[in-house]
Amino acid sequence: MMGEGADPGKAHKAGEAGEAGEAGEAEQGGSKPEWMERLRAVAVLGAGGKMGSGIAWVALKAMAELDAKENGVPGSGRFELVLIDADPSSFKPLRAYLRSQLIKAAEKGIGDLRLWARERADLIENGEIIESYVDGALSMVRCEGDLAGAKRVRIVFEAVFEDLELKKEIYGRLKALCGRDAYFLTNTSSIPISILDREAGLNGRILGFHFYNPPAVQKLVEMISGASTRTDLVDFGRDLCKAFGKLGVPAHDVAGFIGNGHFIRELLFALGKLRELGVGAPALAALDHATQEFLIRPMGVFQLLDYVGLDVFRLILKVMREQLDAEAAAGTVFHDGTLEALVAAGVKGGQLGSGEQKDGLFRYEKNRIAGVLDLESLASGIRYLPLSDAGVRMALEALGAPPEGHAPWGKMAKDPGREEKVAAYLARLAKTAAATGTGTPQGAGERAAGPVGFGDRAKDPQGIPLARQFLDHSRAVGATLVRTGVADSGDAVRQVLMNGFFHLYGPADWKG
Amino acid sequence: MRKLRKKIYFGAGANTVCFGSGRKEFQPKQPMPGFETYLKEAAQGSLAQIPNPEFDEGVIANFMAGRFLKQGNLPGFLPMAVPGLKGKPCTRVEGACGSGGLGLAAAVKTILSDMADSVFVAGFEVQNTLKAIYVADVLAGAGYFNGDRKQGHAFFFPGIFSDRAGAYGERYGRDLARRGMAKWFEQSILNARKNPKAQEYQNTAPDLFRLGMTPPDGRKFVPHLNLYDCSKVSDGASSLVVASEAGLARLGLDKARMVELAGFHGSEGDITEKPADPTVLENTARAVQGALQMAGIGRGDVGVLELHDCFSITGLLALESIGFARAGGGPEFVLDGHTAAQGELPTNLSGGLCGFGHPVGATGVRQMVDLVEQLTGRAPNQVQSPKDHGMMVSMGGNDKTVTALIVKRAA
Repeated sequence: MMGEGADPGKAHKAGEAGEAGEAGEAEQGGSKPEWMERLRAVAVLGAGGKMGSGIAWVALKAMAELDAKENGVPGSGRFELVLIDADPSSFKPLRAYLRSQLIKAAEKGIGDLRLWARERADLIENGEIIESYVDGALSMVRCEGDLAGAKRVRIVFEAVFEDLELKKEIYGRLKALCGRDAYFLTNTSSIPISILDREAGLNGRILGFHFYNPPAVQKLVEMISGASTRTDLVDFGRDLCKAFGKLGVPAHDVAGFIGNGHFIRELLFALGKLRELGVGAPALAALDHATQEFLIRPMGVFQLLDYVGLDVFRLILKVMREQLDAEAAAGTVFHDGTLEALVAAGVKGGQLGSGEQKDGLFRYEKNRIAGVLDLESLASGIRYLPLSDAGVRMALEALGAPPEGHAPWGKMAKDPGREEKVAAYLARLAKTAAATGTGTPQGAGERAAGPVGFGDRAKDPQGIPLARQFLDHSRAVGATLVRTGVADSGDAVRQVLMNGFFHLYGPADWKG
Repeated sequence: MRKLRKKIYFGAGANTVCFGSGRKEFQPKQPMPGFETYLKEAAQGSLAQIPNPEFDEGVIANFMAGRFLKQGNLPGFLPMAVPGLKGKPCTRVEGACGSGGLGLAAAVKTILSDMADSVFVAGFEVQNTLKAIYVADVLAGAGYFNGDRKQGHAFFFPGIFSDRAGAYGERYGRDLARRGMAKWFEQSILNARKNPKAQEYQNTAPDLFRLGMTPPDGRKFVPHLNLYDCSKVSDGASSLVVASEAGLARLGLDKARMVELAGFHGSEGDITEKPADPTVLENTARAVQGALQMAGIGRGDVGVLELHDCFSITGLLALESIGFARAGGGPEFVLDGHTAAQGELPTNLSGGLCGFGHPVGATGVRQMVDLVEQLTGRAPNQVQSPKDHGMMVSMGGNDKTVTALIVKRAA
């Protein structure tokens, strides 16, 4: 696979064909929209990674479709997708991933495929058309271990590690390699675009184009313009979202943007709560459960942290600290001692290439939580308590039940009447929370180092007050993002959280 | 009109479970039983009813084992399932979805020709080796590949019968047609729920008619049919015995558990031609006409009916083409309950293709197995018909290879 991709003869031929194709188009007088022309030559940097491989698939799908519409089936030689990764061992699984995605998409879209291939008398059966589509699309792909492979491309999707120095170096080289009109779309989730633009001297040819994980599935793309991002590039980004079938939400160039602007602050809040309640497995499990069940979300805060990966979270936190804390009057905000301790102890999270969740704050079996990190014994190594652990069970029981109208996220998300049902549930939650007092749960902090570490079954259930605190906090963060100009409106925040994080409501929908 | 020159009986029938989506035990990602398992199971069900299983010949009906299973030379699997067929003449018949009907006719003709007194007939299809989108490719072979496949729909046959449904709706009213098809679906599932071997036996959907009313979505599927209008991808086998009086005596079979052939007729259309009128099944009409004439009865004498409803619309068109309902009157006929289990013309009591399922090569044989059980009072969804005759229509492709058989209580 790799040999094939790295074959210079092949690359050369593909490049020539691409040029001939464009000339042919011009002769026919068919002038295509700019985004279509640009999609003939695309590179993805960091293509072997979790986000990069997903972006590669999204781009390949759109390119294959254009090629098929133009030439019956893809593989005309007029389109090329260069996939670049420093780790060549990622190419084989990357090609396998693209092939399986192509097959799935071709089977699902067979109606369109047949239509596009209607002039191809030799392709008659579904099987023949699907096979030719998949093989043709894969023939567009060239895998390269070095940036030099990006020569001549007109769009670069960059999805390398969230590290300013690394990105600066890459863009410095790309600037010299690619044509003077190349567009750079960075998948950064936190580094300000203006800084990348300035440091690498890109003259406004860079746009934040932040996919959500996994890019193949997630509809949302945050589009971030830097101070000098060219308007034609902003328009292009919008067209590209449409071509990719994505929902583009503009965000402003403040570290973290909208999605991480909310997520990072919420996680810091949750880590603060964890300390407040006594850093132990029961509190960890209870906070996670409360934020999933009572807030009707697909995951609790700490499972989401595992999903993102503690190291990735820490990198984003670092960027936000460097960019935002200097300006903040309150001093260091974007830092968390508990997180540092967890990372130092080797707690990781993140996913395997197969998409399987790795252990982090929780132990996972088939992507479901099966154990809770024993925080108290972290110094002596990573150990997980079973869910049947007495302390964990008591803490979960202490949450009590969510108020009336509750349904688990999976069920609610599929309910066609979910909008009204969610609104009714939130109203009910607000009413119940108001009736149960201040909403400060009784923590182990007040009760010395009790074995439970969270709550007390004799007291009021603590799920509702906790839910209220998280909702209050989320609403305040949403308002801050709008007030400080990160988001155009409350609706932009709502769209990002609903489409990027699969929340069923926006922060401002909480009226408690 | 030719008459039968001797008495011919059908009996000792057996069906396997019709396997596929809808059955709880169906796990598409797990290994599934091979076709040999189905063939043996059906054969053992038949043999268990036969005291002295000595056959003169065997017939095996199947459509596309060559593609689904990469297996040809199917006659060789008859002695595997029925050891007594070793050393006897065996034949494979193929007429797409009408293979089973052709198999029955072939056995009947062999006996009529005095070449055999007892013929073992089996039919089978195993399709779940492929995903539906590729199953469609294989089944498209029941149409005219060189002429029509390229322009056809991705799901070829649903596309063909969608065209018929569209033409029908155009002529007689879309809403009426839709309600008729929805009712057909409801009736099929209600019958299937009484038949433990049916693919839809475990179907518990609460409002079947409403499901059947789901508006077709041409972007996702075909313009004039929804998924409930379609028989599913199925695996299964059926078998039975066809015998003369002498054959019955040799096999040791009791006439009370058999049905007697009253008439049969086949009609073939030119597969390269489009139907003259898309709202009419002309070969179905001709085959039934011929069978009724041979039987010397009118269609009003038929007490139980087995139609080839690969799609709900096909069921309605067949009712009209045969003359049970007037042209354009099929939907009302069904909506009024005439074809329900309690109606005057109980139809597809074991679920039909829409409810029992459609293991293509087995279907015609399965229809006869079910007629035997109904007319001898042993069916899982038994009705008490005052009439002695039952009729089945086995149809291949787009009303191209059609065999109609009429049987009556033997004792």
